[in-house]
Amino acid sequence: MKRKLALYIMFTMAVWGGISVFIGKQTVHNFDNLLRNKLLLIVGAFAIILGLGSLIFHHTQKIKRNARYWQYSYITLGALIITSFIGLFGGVRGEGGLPTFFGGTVLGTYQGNIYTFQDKNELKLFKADPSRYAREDIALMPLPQGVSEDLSRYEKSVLLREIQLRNTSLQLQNLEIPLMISPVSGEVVPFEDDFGVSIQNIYEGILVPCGSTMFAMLAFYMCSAAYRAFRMRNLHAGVLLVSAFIVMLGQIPLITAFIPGLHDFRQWILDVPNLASKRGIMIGVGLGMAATSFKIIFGIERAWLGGGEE
Amino acid sequence: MKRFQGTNRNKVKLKVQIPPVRSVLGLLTLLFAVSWAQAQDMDTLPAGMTGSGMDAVEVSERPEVVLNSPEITNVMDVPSDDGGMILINWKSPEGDTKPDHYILELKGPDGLWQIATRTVLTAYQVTGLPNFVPFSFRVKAVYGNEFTVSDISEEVVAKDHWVKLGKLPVFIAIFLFVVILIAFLHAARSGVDLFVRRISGLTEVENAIGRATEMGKPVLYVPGSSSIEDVATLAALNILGEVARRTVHHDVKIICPNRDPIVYTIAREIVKETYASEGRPDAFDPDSVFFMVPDQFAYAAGVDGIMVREKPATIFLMGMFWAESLIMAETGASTGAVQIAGTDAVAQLPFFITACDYTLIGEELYAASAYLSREPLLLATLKSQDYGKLIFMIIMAVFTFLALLFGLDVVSLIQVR
Repeated sequence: MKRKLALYIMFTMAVWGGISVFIGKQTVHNFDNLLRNKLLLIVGAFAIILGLGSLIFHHTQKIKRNARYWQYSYITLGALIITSFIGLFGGVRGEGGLPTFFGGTVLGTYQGNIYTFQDKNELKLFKADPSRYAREDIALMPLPQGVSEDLSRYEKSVLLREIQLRNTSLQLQNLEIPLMISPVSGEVVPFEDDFGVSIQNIYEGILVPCGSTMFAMLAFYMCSAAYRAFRMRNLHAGVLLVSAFIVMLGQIPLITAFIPGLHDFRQWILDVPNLASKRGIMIGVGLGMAATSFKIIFGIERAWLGGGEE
Repeated sequence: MKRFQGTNRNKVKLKVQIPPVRSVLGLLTLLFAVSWAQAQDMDTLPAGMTGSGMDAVEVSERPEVVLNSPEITNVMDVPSDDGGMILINWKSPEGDTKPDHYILELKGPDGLWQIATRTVLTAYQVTGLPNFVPFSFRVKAVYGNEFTVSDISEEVVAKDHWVKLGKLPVFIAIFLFVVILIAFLHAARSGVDLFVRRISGLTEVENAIGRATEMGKPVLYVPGSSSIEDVATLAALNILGEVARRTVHHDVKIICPNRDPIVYTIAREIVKETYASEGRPDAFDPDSVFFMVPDQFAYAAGVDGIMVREKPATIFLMGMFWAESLIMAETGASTGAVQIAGTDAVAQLPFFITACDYTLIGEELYAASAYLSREPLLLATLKSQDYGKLIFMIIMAVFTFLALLFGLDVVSLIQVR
């Protein structure tokens, strides 16, 4: 009965999801989003509890069994407890009850019209007086008057280039920005929690660099994989070697300057045989996805339920 | 005498008598002066400047040209869509001078003109607009530092519609696929023997697990790095059931680290149920399937750690992978394990082909559970997959033929909006 119920729920949700693709009404989409995103979030929250239980169980078992490198399990469990404590009681950015912020003095908030501008994933803020110019003229004016006095020469050039060449524009927003006295420079700056132990800082200061380190190792793995791939063991490996060699050489301007047609040949390899095989795989993948979905929707494939009959 | 046209519109007249070459210094001075003059946007060269090797230069005024305005010809709500889209067409200005580009602007109820796009085309589909809110449009034709503006269009509202006709090709494709699927399911139920070609990567699964038995080492199964919404993850979980069944038969330990907590819950249930259905519920180790970490590279590091510490005899890398694919596959290769990988991520396939012993390419990943279980109904879905591909190939060949011979715009026929 448990499995039958799961099958019925899955079938209803799948048919609903399929139908909603062909319906344009926003109310239908909103309901679909509610089912997909909000319900999945709730299910995900419960699953995280199960996941945490598994993590704790796995590492306590390792410690109990004195498995190889069991000492690292203490670090994992310790990190789990500390970060959970800071996250639960200190807030994501140190705004919780736990006194995790030990930076400068918080002054209050600045409220006013601010121009925000996205540059290299950084949101820049500029004070501005919107009454001095109309927004429609930004595209063709050398530089908005109200902004210029707050910008450095470099920022002006960046701003102009972005406005004119790329499809971006300044956003005028009425913002409230918390201010603080920086413990480093002593100036009044927008509030930053760089000086506290918040979950965000732990993430940015520990997890992101560790992830970057792993990612950087990819370069070395690529070298060893390339060595393995380029050993001419058979005809296929030979074709791979020659085509890869041409593609790599075709990327180097100094080489293409001396060998006419190399750049075009490289592009042909990428655009014709490479793209054709990629598209062939992708068509197969699309049909495979459809077949797998139908297998599950019609209850033919039940491995996800643990297999077997209901 | 040469004539140069200046970039500025001011009247510029230069007459410089230049003596023959005297020295390199003189040439450098001239270059410096010219560049300085350009930088300063000045009318004449600095007094007392001397140079060499050049004729007298005269820059004349650019003739005045009349710049015409573009004309908006059509503004309409995109029909049969899910709302938020308005289509605008305009005519380029008459006359010889063509604009560099156009700026399409829109005005909503707040009365402020906002830039919708910059384009060199004469049509644009504005997206992301709120439904049933009136918007008017105007087009600016930009000529260098000048521009002309069209008349303001009438107000138009974006609406959402019940049926999205743009998805009709998808509907037809799904309908065709379901018909083929039902036909093969019917054939399978009638007892027709369905032939499936040999997939070496899947044929080797049995041998690879047998190797683990001989070596007394575990089997490592990585169900990808993605979440349960990914169909590749579902396919990987389907394969996990079959692999777990074989590990029960061969009495081999299976290790299955997970990145996603929902995937972990399902994977654990699959392995547990498989052990139970094979009559060995006592052999299931609850610690064999576990949740590791949700971070991508932390997960890769954790899986690498297991590979190095446990030295599994066989490694399965199935499902969706990103940049961590090679990190895992190379580490696995360095431990000497037999590696069977399968993914539908086209960008990761070369890495797996290079570093693993067997690779399931794209659709083979989805065929794996049917191939391994040999269940007739599952094989029927596999056959429908193959015939679907055949129909696709025929359609592509026919459409290519029609496009090449008769110049038909076949793309617009099958374009999904």
